[in-house]
Amino acid sequence: MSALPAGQFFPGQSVLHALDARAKLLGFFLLLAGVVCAASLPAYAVAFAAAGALLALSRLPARAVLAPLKRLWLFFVLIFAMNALFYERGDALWSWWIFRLSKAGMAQGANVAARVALMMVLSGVLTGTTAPMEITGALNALFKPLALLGIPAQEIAMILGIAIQFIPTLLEETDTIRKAQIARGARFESRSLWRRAASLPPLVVPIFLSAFRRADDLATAMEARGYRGAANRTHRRARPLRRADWFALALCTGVCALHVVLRVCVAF
Amino acid sequence: MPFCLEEVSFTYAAGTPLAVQALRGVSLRMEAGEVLGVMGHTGCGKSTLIQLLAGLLVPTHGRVLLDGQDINAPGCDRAALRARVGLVFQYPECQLFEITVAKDVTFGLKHSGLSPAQKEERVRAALETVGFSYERMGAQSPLALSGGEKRRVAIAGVLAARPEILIFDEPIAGLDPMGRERFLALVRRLNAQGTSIVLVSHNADALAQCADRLLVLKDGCVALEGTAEQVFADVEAARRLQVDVSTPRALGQMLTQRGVAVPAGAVTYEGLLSVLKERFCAGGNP
Repeated sequence: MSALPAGQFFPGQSVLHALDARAKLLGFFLLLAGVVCAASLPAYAVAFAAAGALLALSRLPARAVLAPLKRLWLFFVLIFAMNALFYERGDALWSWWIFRLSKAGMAQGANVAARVALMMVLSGVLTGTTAPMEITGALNALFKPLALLGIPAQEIAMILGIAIQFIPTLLEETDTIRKAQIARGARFESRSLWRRAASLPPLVVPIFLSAFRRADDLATAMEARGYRGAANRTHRRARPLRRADWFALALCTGVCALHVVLRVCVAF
Repeated sequence: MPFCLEEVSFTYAAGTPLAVQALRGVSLRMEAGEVLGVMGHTGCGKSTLIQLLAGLLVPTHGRVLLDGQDINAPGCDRAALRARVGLVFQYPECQLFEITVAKDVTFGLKHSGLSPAQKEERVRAALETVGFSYERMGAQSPLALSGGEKRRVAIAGVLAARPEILIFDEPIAGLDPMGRERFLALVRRLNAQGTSIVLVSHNADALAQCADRLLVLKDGCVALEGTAEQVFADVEAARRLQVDVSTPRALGQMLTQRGVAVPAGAVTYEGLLSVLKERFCAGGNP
């Protein structure tokens, strides 16, 4: 496995690593809201500058964080083309059969592609600087108010946490099973889509079986260690948000507000 | 068919902050018909080594040569190579997925170009090699078998391709004593038919019984190499490398310390017994 999976955590000492996961998660959602608002060139300039600044601050290997973007280039081309060719509104620059190229469509395509790219970079920075367990802890804390509405927030956070923790295990297992099947003659490299689909069962069946077995074992192990539902569990390291965390949150709120203002004031 | 590693190094996630060097300049030569045992502490590079041998990983530096040909050279037919080298992963029972045992064992022959009759013949032979009857086992679901049976079916799935070189990763981990004996008998039988075998194991007793030569890895380097007698001769050295010596050798060492000199070459139960017999049953009297 030479390529790292998207969302890989890189231990480090940067400013972003040191921030509290709750602040990072909230800030992430604020920036995400900002990105969703973005629809003009100045807004995208702000968004890309913010994403670039975060990437630089995180001192993550930029190549590793941006690699998923590169792997999805076809997806980006596709969403751009779909929007550019099928957008209903605006004057058609060129049309043929069901296709209809329009300026508005191209703008829309660029919009969607840029937003997805920004979201991927932001989430890459978040997961790159925050250990999976910290993210779960933060989700747990942020979900707490939902308990007032009768939603089993802590349980949901626990489920998410377990799911996140299982990802690397299952990825590793997929790799092993893929290699085991190749070693006994399977061919997964085939370019034909039909062949590739036909080569799925040898991978999917063993992985599902093992995932169910692992889930069973984990449930038993948790009960054996006294787990009785997630309500009122305490944390080993409970600490309040520090000044740096509040500062980061304020910055993110500022960027988000700027996006809203730009959205209202600047037309594309 | 000699199999060679030339100064092979391998780094996982090379070029990222998570890079881990698993092998450092390992050279190795394997002769036809040999049983090579590989030992070493967890994380010493054993699994990486066998995946390189099977062509599943490409070395960061160095070459893997089969019959003098670099298996990772651009023009090399990797599928053909993989048919010559069989790799049985640890817990191979995890790779089973088909509806019936027969189908699962046939899976690896899909791209072999054999006729259905030839395939069936191969599958029958492979199942019989691991001690199953095609008639009785063939139609069962592989997922309904016991752990030990699943493992034998998985091994049959690799044997069906009739590899010249077979690599086993921890094949006896978690097997009961009978399963262990049965597996070692299988290794001897396959070896007698001319298959070269690589056995990765922590079980020094099994390796002392089966392997012609042992390789001890430590931190991605070959730390010790030689026959079981040579490798287990220095009990302290083996302990420093975090590998066990075989139980008979450990017993011999204890006896020697307590005044009954047992030569270091007695690494199997047979060897130890014959030494003791010679000493204590001289003239046939117990």
